[in-house]
Amino acid sequence: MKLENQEFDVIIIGGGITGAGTARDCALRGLKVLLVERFDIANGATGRNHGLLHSGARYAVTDRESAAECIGENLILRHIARHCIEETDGLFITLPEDDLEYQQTFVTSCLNAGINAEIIDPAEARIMEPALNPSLTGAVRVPDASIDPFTLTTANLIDARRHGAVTLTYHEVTGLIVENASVTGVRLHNNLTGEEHEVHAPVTVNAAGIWGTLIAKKAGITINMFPAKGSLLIFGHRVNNMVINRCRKPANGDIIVPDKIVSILGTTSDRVPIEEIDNMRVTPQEVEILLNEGSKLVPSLMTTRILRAYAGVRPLVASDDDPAGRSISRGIVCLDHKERDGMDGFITITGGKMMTYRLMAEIATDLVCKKLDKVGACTTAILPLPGSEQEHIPRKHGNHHVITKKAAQERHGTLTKEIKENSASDKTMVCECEHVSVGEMKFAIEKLHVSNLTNMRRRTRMGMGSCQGKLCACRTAALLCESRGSAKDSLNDLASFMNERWKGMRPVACGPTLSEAQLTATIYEGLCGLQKNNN
Amino acid sequence: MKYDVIVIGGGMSAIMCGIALATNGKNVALMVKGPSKLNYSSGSIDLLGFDEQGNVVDKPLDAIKSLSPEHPYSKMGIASVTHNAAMTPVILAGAGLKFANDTQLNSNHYRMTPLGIMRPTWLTLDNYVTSTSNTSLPWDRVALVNLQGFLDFPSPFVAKAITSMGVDCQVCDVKLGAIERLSNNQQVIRSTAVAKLMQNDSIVSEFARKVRSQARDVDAVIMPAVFGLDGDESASKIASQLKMPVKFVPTLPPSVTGTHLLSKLRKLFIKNGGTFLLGSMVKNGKMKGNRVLSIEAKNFPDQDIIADQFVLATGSFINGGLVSSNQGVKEPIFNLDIDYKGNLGEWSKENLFDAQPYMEFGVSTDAEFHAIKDGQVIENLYAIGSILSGHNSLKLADDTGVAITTALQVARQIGV
Repeated sequence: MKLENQEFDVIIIGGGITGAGTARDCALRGLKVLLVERFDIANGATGRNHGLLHSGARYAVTDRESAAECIGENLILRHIARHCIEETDGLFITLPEDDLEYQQTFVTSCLNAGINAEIIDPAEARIMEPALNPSLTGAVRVPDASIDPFTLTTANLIDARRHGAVTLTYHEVTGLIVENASVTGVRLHNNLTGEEHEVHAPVTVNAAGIWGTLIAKKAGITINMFPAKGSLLIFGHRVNNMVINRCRKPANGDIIVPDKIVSILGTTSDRVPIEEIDNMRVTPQEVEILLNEGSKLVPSLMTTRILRAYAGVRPLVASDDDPAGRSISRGIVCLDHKERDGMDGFITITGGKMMTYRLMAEIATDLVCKKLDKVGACTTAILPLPGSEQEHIPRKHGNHHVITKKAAQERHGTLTKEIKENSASDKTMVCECEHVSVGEMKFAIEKLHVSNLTNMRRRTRMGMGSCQGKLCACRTAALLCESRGSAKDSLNDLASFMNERWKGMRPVACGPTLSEAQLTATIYEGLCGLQKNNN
Repeated sequence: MKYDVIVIGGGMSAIMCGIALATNGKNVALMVKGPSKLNYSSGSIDLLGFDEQGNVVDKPLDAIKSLSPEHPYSKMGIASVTHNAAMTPVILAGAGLKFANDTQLNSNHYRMTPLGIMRPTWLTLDNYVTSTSNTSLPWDRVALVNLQGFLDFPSPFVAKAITSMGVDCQVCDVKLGAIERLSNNQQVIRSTAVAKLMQNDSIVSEFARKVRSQARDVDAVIMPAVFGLDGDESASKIASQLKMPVKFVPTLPPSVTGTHLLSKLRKLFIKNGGTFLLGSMVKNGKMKGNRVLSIEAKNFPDQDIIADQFVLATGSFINGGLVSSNQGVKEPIFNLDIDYKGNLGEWSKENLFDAQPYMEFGVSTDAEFHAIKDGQVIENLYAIGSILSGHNSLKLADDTGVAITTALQVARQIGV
């Protein structure tokens, strides 16, 4: 059916985790949902953070409210999204130059917020996590974990669709339709085909993260956001097995999260102009700061190859004149624009963080229901996401292709059974860093809204490992080229994918990373003849 | 250990230099660390595919005039480039390598890349897909072989490219039990693994039978270049069993073609009396004044490896001929002077496909390719191939040409 002729109760703007979570919650409560995203899912801050399932300990001293929200959601996500989580636990480390007395303040604050924080002997901490700086003077164990933002977002969208939601990627909101001081719909531009649409619904939810300020402006509403850029580095292999934090007030480069086969170090925090949020670049200075600070926690980072650097923008809502945004609350902000600005039918859900997306979605959905006069209880804290229905994800025995199966199960949980491997060639491995098979890619193309290489990367982790897509990008491009599109489009998709990989490598392009970049260029431009624009 | 000449490196420039020196009667040793850029070989030799403005070059020897003075060709001079270019097919033929177009030295053609893109080049192995134009192919109807499970030949791109050039392209999907077994073993199936299978007579016969049953009334059968680990044997077997003209397109790396080229060239080098020392990781060199006295290698501990002349052919960043850090760029064996500019942020450009400044970094040399250290020319140390500065081999498509012509130039200088 044509989009214009469909009836919706609610339009959700934004394909990040907040939008996806809100779409799921609304759909579970029986609303007719349309979610629109201008690019791919998890394109903004959702896909550009640590992938840290906070215990809340990081905020325990400075932001008690956020800390309590974190631990609450932490326990819920471990249940409803278990296939997206690796239960690593975390350590807060005191170094000789830090004040060991802070540890006591920290532990007390954690316990007050309901976070199970346990002081352990530094020697024991080194046995648990051999990567640690051996000169540590204190260690506290907390229930941090590692979470995959891409599978989490995908799982929320799958469930939203299962409950009737329509989700459209590459559909950009170009305007809000305002009638009689009420937002009654959105104008959309299809970024792939150029088509224009107008869609109506009694309520529109602005869940566009930092871009939410620009969305609100389309209805003449000002939201004073504080775009805080956070830069991170990905290392070439998994250096640590537990999340490692510095036991001090939050500062630069003091968290290292193990993420499947790599480790991620972050972050910095700097206010950036709103005009720059589409074009984040990591500077050499930021790389230096991160490396200097991170190697104090884990000395071997200094000599580990850096795969790439990337940056996200936290959607903080400005409240004071704090220049770095560190002391701004990470708390949730839900704005009913009728009360705030006299504009009905329009809600903004922002602030918060990936960790608290479900709670944000619940708060936003409660307000949507109130506006629509619908009654419906929130079930997202109880109902497992698709992929996490079973406590133990069954491992099929007797398969010859166990590695790809195991990797797929880590990514898709119980959905793995939908991966069809009908022939031997479906079992062939495409991406050897992340163990992705042809069958898994076909599943992603059919079921997970994949039409280009970046989509495929976000659904399967293809090209995210140590080779950064050196050969697997080309193999995947051929699969996509076969199933859809012209050779020209596929070549340009491949060029832009390799260029996007390069964008992350460039701030750290020296040593082995420069050699890798030259090798990539030699293969794609020299051997294969790929160029910026391919006709 | 003592030699007349030691060449450090094992790629195209090192082996060509070694062959030329050995043919001249020099006692020469190649110190080969491991794989070279031949791993990424297309089966073609590029002399100059594009000029510095990015235009396709038709007559490479003429276009050399327009290159900037820092380019190795400009350093060598047109006469020497022309002479060395003329020598190239002669030496290659001596190694048993037959190239098409080898009588038209001042003329480029197009090769087909693994993505089906037509890229200008100078010489191409004679059973590979080439054309005089980038919009047409010399056939009306071809069969394209797609080996199921072998993803390093991205056949959908090649098929669409062939069709777009107005040629009827019939895709033959070939399923081989031996490849299925590798697929079931959850392996990435590499070109070398397929090439190894193709050394087996019964697999070649099965392959030929399956292609023959699908390919009817075609002018040529186009297939991935996965033949040649055993010299010319498997390639000629497949051609004779198919009874149709067979043309190859290179695969993604590792390049079986590159392995084939290297093994033929190495045979010639050894036949001419050269010493090929594989696994030789050269650590450093001993200098006295403006001369290198000896080098030291990891696999020959506590031995001074002595020679009259030394040739450095260790490649660019990929192969470790150059190493970089946020402090700068270095040549790790002799700590030679490097031509490079700026700090980390200025080494590269924002788009991967822009001309990257780091591509032009390399060791400083004089016009005779003597290396320079601390501003002093080293009398008996030469640099050749990808380690040279002053050109962007991806933008100009001149990589193998620079490798071979500088190798032959230096060999001649040493020879007299």
